Amino acid sequence: MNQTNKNNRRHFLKMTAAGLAGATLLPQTVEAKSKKNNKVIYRTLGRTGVKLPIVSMGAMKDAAMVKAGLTKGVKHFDTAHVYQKGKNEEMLGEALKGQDLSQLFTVTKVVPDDMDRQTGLVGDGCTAENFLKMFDISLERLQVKSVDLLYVHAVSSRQAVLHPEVIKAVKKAKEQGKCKWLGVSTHKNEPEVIRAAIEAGIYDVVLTAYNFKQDHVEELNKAIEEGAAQGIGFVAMKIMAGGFLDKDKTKPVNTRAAFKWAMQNEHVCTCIPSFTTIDQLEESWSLMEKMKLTKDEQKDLEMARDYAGLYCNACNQCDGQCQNDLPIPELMRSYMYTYGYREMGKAKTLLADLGLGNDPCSDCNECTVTCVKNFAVGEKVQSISRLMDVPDDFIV
Amino acid sequence: MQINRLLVLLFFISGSVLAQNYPDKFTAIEGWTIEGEKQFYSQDNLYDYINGASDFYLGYAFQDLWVVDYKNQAGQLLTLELYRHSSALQAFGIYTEERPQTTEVLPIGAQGFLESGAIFFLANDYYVKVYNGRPEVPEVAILAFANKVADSICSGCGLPDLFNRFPAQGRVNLSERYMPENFMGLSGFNGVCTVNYELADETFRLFVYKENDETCRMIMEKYFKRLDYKKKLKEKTYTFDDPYLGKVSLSYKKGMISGILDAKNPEAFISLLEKM
Repeated sequence: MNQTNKNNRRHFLKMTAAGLAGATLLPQTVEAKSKKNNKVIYRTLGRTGVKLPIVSMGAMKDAAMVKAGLTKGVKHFDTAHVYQKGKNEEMLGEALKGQDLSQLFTVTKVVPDDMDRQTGLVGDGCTAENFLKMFDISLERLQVKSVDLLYVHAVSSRQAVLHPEVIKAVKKAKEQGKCKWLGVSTHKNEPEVIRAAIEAGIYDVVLTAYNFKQDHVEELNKAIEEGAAQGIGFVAMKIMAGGFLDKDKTKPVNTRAAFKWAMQNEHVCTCIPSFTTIDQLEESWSLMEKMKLTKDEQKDLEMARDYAGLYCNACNQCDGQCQNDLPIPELMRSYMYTYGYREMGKAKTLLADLGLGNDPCSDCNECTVTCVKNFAVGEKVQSISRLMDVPDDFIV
Repeated sequence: MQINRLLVLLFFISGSVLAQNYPDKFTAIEGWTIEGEKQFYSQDNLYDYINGASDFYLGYAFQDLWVVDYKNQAGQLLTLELYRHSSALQAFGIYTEERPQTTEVLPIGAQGFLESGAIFFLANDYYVKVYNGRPEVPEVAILAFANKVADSICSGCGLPDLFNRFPAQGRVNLSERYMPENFMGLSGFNGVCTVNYELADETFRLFVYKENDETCRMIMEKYFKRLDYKKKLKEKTYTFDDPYLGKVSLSYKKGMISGILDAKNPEAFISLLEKM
């Protein structure tokens, strides 16, 4: 036990010294490497000045993939305090043991206490003390004394970003030298979070969900531009939009196209796809040679966007909202058959099975169904129900 | 006609409700009654409950989650979280991801542990968490509650048999893992059991994969292709210098692949593979 502690302490000191040196070394050294290898595209992470390959790695489950990433030239591996109840940080700490951390960009993420996952609001139970305690545990798991960047994890509201206890905690972590830079990560209400990060004035990086399929991508692009103008660096996650267009995973996203789309935004420094195979890593790495979207890739993305707009993932959150108790997810599915796949016969059979009339909404003045994907449910139900008036002979 | 349509509609509606009914076996936990609304999460919205951690659960074929509060006569509250996965091995996978490396394991279900006043345990295809509420439930009572939940899932629940194949010599306690997909970064190498070893100043992993022979051959050949190794596959032990993973020893027998990863000198431990 003592031996382990000694080893850990020695390792801590070694890593901290390397980490401090890295504050100045990383940009120059990495750039020198990029000159040697023109296949790798590096971008600067906002005001941090750190240059990273546009391909980084996120949420690796196995040290083997970290090893593979290091061999390939990946400099940044994402992790978080909560992933695998800390095992992810432990795994990464072990996998990076013995590496020259001054050549890597180390991060972790800590979720503020008492944050409501639905509303994104941080409650009174949040304290800077608890946040810092969790961060200290993360550092221990990673076997380092400091990381380059500390994120406030999974925030989705302005209130959370600007919460006094959260601000107090991250400022203190920086003052104590436990991190060089601060950031927020967000999967929801990203534009609001980015603008709050600008407003806070202390955050250097935003890790944001960013992909071709997001309904609010225009607004998100605007927010990213505003943030970049203020020196905030951006890291993109969820760029593959889940990897599949459908729930049954029969329609894969064109991942090459999705990657190129996300990284076309020059304000996005790097991205953190969760590679699970060496082939995936190799493929994304090789894309840096030719980043321009081909016509076919553009077409794939357009089709995927259209498909996403039609696709109801049957989350059933609208259950019970319809005044006429209509089975909304099934009706949305028949809408997708008709307008997405052009399979009107299949759609009509489904509608007939459901016993749908040709005007099921006639006795409603206003649709009471609220869809989490913002589908205009009432309009779609009325549109699809007209199919019941079309004679079978006219349906191919 | 209208009635028929309504019946069909009702059938569909009731069908979707039935699919999300709370399992009966958890409704009658002696001494406890369900308090408040039950929450249900599927693959589609697990993220809403556990955020980014949901990716890990989905990686182990997560099926659904019930989050239910229970109250006893003293007015004390517990929260039960029932994560159901597609198989006992998948549930074992997520359970061991969260089990600390050094903990005292408890005989609850197949196995459990206590952490920060909460109980975590494995029982067949369920990974179960029991959290203390306010006012707090004493540890004895929370353990009794957890045991009742475990008993309602399985009697005599056990850990997956495949781990019995691993030799005892040098085996690191509580290091068993189940890798659901793409082991060694190799697409299709899904469902591999691994255990850590410490022997002769080396730390390394042994792994075993049991599948039909066709799949085993396909995995081996895919790996050969990655290494650009052109020889025909035979039943034997190979040692490669993998450009990404370092030295790797792999043993192929009909319907089984086993191997050694992360060792500087895997050849020194080949005898362990022979015991599997």
